[in-house]
Amino acid sequence: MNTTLIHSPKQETTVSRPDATTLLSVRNLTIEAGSKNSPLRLVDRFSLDMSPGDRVALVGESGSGKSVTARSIMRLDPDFRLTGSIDFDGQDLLKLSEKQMVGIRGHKIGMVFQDPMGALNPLMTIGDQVMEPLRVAGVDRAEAERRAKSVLEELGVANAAVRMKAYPHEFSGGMRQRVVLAMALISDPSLIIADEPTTALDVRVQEQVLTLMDKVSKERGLAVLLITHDLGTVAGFTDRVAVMYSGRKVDEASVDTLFNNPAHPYTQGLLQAVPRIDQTVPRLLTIAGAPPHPGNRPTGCAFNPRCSQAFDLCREQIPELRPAPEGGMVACHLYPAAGKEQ
Amino acid sequence: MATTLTKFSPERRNWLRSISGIPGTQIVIPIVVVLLLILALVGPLIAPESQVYRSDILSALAPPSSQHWLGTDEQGRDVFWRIIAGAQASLLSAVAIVTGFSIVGILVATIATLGGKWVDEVVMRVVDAALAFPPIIFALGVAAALGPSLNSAIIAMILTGWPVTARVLRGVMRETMSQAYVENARVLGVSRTRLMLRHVLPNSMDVLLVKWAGDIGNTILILGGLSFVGVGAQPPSAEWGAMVTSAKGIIATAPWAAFAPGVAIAITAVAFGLLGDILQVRFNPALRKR
Repeated sequence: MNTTLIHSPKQETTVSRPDATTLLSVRNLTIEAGSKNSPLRLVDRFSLDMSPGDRVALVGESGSGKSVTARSIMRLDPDFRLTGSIDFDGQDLLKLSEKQMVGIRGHKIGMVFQDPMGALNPLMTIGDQVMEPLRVAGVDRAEAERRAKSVLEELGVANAAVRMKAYPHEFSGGMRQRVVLAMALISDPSLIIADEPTTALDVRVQEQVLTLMDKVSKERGLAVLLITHDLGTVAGFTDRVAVMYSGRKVDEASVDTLFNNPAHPYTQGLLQAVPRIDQTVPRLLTIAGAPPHPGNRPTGCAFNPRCSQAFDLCREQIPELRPAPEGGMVACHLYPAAGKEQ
Repeated sequence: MATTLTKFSPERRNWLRSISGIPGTQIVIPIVVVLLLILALVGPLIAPESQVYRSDILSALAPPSSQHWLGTDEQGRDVFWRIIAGAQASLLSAVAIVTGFSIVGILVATIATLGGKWVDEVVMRVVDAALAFPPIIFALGVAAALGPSLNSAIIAMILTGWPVTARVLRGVMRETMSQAYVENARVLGVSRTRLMLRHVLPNSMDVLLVKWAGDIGNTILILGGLSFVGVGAQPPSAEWGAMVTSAKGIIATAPWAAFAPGVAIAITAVAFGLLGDILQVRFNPALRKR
């Protein structure tokens, strides 16, 4: 255990498994919007490592920067200024040209959005849309059709050959999400970013889609970055969880650690706010207050006005990510680095 | 056997419907449009020269009769045959004008949408400047340069018509660009050009189609206004708009001379307008019935 080196230049800010080769390595990703003179810092020095086949959840409230982070990995918003590095498969995505990014999107990294109702072009048949990523890559129509049919069947679309000729309005929400998933999977990417893939679906369909994603990602050895605010989804699906608050990663741990021994007071609060069927609580606990606007964060830890355990240091200094006592990483002054105390 | 007899009628209707994809009585509209287009092609050939162009002062301002179905104008020319002969000048030039400026408008809107913030800003300011040209004055300028004729009126109207289309379409395209499926296609590695051609343009076309069809009637009227100031179709020719405007002075004594070509314009405008609506439904898989 090498915990005495506090100020080492390569301070670890993410949980990584040194034995596995990394697929995606985000380092100090900072995302700014607005004008150069008065920038709005949406995400501050975000780091995350993912190995092939890893399943990681990024959780946080609305406005915590989780979606912005996911979108920026794909470089979807040209107006945002991105600094840091996003190494994927040996190349820094931030250094690629827009043209090279077109080759990454859909082909190496797939993405699934929240709203399956709006995610399909109403004027194109399901088949044409599922085939599109292959067609733009130059695959001929017959081959693309064959692969579209097989991926739709893999995702449980019955009678795929016929249904490929249908239009989106003839599909239900759950079916559409399968189609959207098929579009993301058809080029055989090694990473899927799922931005709240089940939020717009009803609970029964949510469960179906998650089971399906679970099965497919296991079979294909697919890495999944799941963006969600639904901790129930997290527990059943992922191996590791990163918690974001006001643009920063404040907590990262394996699912077991996070649920059994949450380190950050914010994570503790989030977990208390989840209704559980095996506990009788007189009323649900909430975290008082609301997350700050990115242009108006409090000094020190951004969570301090809402934190029941905050003390003076919290109001003065932003806590850095440090190893948590139960494993994982946490950015909280309650857990000073082991070396600092001595 | 009884069932086959009762089913006979609906099945016959389905035959027309199955080739056109247009349900019920709406089929009348495309038929009217096709008839109008046929008229525009063959009209000048079947109308007798003497009735259309030759003055016959003795029978001037005659009311509708068995000899002159829609009466005669102040020159004694037969209004019915002049309408038949004028279909070509009115209709084909209106279709040409509207199609012409729609194509220019699509190109400009596409450039503005694809080009990013600065290109969009520059292009839209050019559109603003182009919008400031009054069509009639501009047409006078074109007529001065190219000589007054129907052709210079067509050129002038294309040159003044596109900015409105470009402005409308650019707004629609921006809205389409923000749709989730456009973002989804982008995420799947679809290039900008393909995104435009396969996702954004087809999904913006419904508005353009309705505008295209609605502009036809309007354009015929403006063409008439142009020939009134001496820029468009020249006097002997029987262009509908020109017929209406030239009959203005005699509207109290011979209302038919202005009324009949006016009705022809109205029928054309309504037919094309409704055609736009029908096509909009026809091309939207969610709206069309199977």
